[in-house]
Amino acid sequence: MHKEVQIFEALIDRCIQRDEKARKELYDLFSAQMFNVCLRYAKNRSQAEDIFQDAFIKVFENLPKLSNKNQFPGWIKRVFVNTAIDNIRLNNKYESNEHLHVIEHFSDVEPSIIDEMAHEDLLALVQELPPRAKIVFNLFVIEGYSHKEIAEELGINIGTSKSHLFDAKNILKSKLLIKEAKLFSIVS
Amino acid sequence: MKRELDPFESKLKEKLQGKAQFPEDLLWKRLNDELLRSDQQVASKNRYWILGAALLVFISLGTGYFIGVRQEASRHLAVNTASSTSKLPARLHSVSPSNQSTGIQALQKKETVNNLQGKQTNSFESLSKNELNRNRSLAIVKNQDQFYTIDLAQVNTKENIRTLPSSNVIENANMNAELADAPSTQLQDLFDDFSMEKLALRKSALLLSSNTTMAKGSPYKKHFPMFLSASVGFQPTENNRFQTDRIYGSGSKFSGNEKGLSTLNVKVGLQAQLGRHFELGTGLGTANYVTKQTVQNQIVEIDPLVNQLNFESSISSFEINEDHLQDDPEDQEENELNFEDSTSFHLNYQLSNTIKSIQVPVTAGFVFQVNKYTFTLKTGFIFNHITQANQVLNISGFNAIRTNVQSQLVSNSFYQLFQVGAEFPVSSHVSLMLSPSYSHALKSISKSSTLRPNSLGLECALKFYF
Repeated sequence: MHKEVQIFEALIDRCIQRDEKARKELYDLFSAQMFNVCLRYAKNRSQAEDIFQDAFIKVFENLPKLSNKNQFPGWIKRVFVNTAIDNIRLNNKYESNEHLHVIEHFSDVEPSIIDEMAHEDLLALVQELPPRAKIVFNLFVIEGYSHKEIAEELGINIGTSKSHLFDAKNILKSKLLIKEAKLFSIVS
Repeated sequence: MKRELDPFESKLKEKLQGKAQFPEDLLWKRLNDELLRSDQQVASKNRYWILGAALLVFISLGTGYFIGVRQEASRHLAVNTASSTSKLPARLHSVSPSNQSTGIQALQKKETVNNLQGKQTNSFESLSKNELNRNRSLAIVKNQDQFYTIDLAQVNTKENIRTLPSSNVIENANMNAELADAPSTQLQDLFDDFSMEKLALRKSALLLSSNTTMAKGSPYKKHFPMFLSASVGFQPTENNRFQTDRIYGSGSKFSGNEKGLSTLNVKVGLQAQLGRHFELGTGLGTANYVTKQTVQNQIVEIDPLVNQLNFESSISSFEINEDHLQDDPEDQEENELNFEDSTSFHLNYQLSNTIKSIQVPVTAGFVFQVNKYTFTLKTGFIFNHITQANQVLNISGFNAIRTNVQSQLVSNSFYQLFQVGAEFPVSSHVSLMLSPSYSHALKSISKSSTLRPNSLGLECALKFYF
């Protein structure tokens, strides 16, 4: 285990020295995991690729500032999440504020519906969420942030964060129900 | 604090993290290209930092040396004044024929020393060796109206010759009278020790020496190790020739020469002379660089489908269509060049690029003197910043088409410089310098083609010594 840590630290050092081969190795280690982070925040694959590239450039440029190399996995994820949030903010800069019109509260959705869905379909539903709701949903559900942390991160109230999460879940539930209904009608 | 997710949230998380999607291979290539570009930018930024730091060190060293020299000069002048007014007379009174056997304390004798140049005979009248001075052994020599001190401790390695302030001349005259009886043989010995032949040579060598001691009002001000120079340079020599292929429409193609010309440049320089033979210099100057290509009576065929003229210059390629070619912009009907009506015509044109820059040279040089002329061999780098770049296409019979091409050029670049300088003294403060120079750009200054201006010119400069 200790040897693996040493190898990993050496890899980081080589990346800091702008070794192209080392960069590729590091990229191969984290690209899949980080690309999925990007996919969850983006509204499509193209935007995810943009975020992915920007974030990796930030990672390589800021590697020398990383004091503890053991913290790299957490640090890289944070860089990707922050880059994704920045990208979404930038792309929605000139858009009007989101007005969610979720009338119903879907509380009776069975989690088992999710099992029946393909990963790609579920991901598409998440991608279709309104930008702010999507960010809060990802930060809360996937990254494990608390509402307080989200509020600090995004500069919003805790109540707003909770509201965005509620909206996100409600939208997802409604779409899941619609999908299920369509599926049921096809089967019957 | 660990949060609890509700079953719906947990299920979503599990499902979303359950399967990984991989990025396309192309993404790594894009990313790697971007990283390499970024590396190059960092490297070029580092280069600027290094050059900036080197320039700063050079200026600091020059300033430090300049200040040090002034302080040193003041200190030596103080020593000389003290020796000639209070200490010397006291010492000189102690000299008598009875203590001559114990060693020379002070000597004075008229003696004639032949100048190595053989043109004239210099008369050195007064000489004293101050052994009481613990720090220095000084000798004072008078040549005609001027007094010089010689540092005996360094006489075999680095003679220091100083002129005394004119006020000291009168005071030292008394000393001369008191030492009139000193034996001539001892004086001769001392002269031998001093290597007076060298001393005579030093007088002329002082013109380019960095001797750190100098009195105000001395005719040898030029020893001062730092001097400012202002110069006006003119570089009339033709240079750069570019072989460019031009294709017009799709029907004709021919080659032509494009010549580069440097026009009047002005610059101000600051040089610091360190040691006898080493000189560092920097400055600020303007540089106008012009390229011209002229084509006379060339038959050009136009393909009606293409309907445009294609040009190539050392900076870039560009196209013009008939809308650009109007002899009277107000009257479209009078347009003589109608590509749709005529497919072949005679073309006369001149295409010129004018690139204006400011330049900061940093040079190091070797200085030597032959008779009264000073020669300098210099090399160094020039930092070139393009301030303006225009392209003018002048087709005979039509209005000139002017285009700003600055965006197609690299704003900041470096040139290498080689220069030889010959300096002729005009007065004690001014000299005229003629300096052939050659410079060339280290990299292309055009983003899309290879354009490395080189120039061979003659710089005429007036140098002012401080």
